[in-house]
Amino acid sequence: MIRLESLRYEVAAFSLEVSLEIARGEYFVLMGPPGAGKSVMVECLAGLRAPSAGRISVAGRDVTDAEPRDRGVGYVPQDYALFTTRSVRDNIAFGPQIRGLPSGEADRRVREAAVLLGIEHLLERPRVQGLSGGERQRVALARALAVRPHVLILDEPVSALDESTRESVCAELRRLQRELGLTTIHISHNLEEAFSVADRGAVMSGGRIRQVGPLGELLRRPAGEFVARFMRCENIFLGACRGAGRMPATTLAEASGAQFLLPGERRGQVQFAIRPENLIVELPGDRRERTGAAAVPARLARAVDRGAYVRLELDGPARLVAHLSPRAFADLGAAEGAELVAVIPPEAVHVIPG
Amino acid sequence: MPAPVETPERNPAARRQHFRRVAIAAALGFSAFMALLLVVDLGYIGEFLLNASPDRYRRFRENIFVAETLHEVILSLGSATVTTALALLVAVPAGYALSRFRIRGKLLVDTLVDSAIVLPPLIMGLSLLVLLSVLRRAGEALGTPPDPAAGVPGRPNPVLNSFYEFFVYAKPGIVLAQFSVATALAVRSMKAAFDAADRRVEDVALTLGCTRFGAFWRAALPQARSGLLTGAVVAWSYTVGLFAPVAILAGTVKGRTAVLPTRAYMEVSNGYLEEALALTLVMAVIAMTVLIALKLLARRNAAGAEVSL
Repeated sequence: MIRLESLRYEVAAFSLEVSLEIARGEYFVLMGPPGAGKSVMVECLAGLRAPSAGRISVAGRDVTDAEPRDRGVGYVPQDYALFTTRSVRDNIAFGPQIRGLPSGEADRRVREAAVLLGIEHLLERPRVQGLSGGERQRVALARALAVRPHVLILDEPVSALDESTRESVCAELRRLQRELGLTTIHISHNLEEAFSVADRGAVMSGGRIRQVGPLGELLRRPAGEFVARFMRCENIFLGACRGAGRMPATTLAEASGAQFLLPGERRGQVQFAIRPENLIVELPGDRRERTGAAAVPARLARAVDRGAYVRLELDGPARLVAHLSPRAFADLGAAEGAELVAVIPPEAVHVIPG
Repeated sequence: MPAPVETPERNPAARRQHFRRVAIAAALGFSAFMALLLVVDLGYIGEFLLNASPDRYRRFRENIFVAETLHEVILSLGSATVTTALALLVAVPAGYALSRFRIRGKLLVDTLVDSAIVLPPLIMGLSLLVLLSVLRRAGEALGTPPDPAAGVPGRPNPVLNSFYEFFVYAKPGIVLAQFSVATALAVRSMKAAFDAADRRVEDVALTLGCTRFGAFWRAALPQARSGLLTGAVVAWSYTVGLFAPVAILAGTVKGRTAVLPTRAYMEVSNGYLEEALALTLVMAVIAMTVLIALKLLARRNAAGAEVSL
């Protein structure tokens, strides 16, 4: 549906170099830190920046050199960029009118888009000033949808909204996308937001796509240290393999003075990541026999209640971070300074390739 | 522990009030200064009219209440209006280009635009006169040479020569002199307005179906309309009072190319200070009326949107 082939774009010291395919009807989320090139990439796709090399196709048509209006791309920028001198109705009608649709058809499109987004009651507002953040966003979405694009680009659509409305807006975006079967690219730097809308996504940094795939895979099988850190995996170690583990198809590795069990048979130096929620934390006395798991002695340096989970910072030969459910933390009954054991089964360890 | 003393410095509300008073005093102070100037002028003329000798009084009346004065008023207002329209016609695209596009040597282009503001207006007029004279001389050099055998005199190049004829000591010269200075001011104001306008709105307009010009016309220009009005006000008010380049290029021929400022200058240099002051007051009243009308128009136009002139 959307294909970016070896797309290049340079501006000052920044260069973008990406290849990407997005399927028809897919909700794709583009993640990465500020300055990663997410916006530049979608602006190339929308025709607002001219790439220096590469090809772009949308719905099977090469649009590399097409004007922005001929690409079938709807664009909702971060600040929504409404026409401040027009009424709500005229904002939404802008596209159909400029494309010369008969006024009856333009009216129908405006009404349709307004109904879809539940903003019919706002249509008669003479100005967009005074609309709330959520309302402005709906108007911007309706305006983009009124020209019936093949692809919808949402550049950080919820970052300007307050936390309580973000979640419902994300659900709404998801519903809208399913209802219309619209191929959607959503830029975000927030993991919760990404998981609440998308099936698949990419992590970008420095103008490159670091990994593309289903979000679960990005989370559990990061392709590199950058992606692992971006997906908030805090336990990343560089270790040396010390031979086979006691369990079949495991390898014993030493990192930061502690011993870990890695899945598979490996040799030499390896980098591996352990997600904080996959760590098991026990009191030394409680320790059950777990022959198949590494046990790293640890002292509880700090415990921070984050509501949905408790974040434990563990000191010891290796510095570890664990997330426990509040219930599990209460059951553990450990205070700061307590001696603990971090139990890490090999299946909790992801060896970073390369 | 002693109770804190409620001095104006400690009390934030009182401090805000304090600042408010100082800021308002600055605004009122300066406008009062301008009002004082006008009132003193008026008083000066009043005192003169009461004490003037019958001959001097007749001279004053004959000097002010004549058809030429009306001609100068009309020419001043007309030329300033035409100049403002022409200046905006150039300044709107130029300001947009300087704000939006990458231009090779932009710093130099920008500085050259500013130079029209920085150069003394007298020098601007002189430079224009020199340019037109050079064009005329080039016209003579490139024209048809004389043919002594047939007794036919030489003729200058009609195109190059026509510029001098058209502008120097003629009404179009007034507009040219005003335009050279006013355009720079209008470009500055338009560039600032486009800089402040959200470029994303144009991006969205492009994806919705606009051409580049359409996005400029329908998305950028409506956002910059307060800048457009500011530019118009600045260009018009500067132009209507402009003296030096107009006097040099168009001359100060009464009833032909004299405008109110040049006429006032002629009166002063002939020793008729009172006539000059009276003409100045006429100009001040007309200019202030036009400015108030423009500002009211801007305010009505901007109902809802933020505009300050």
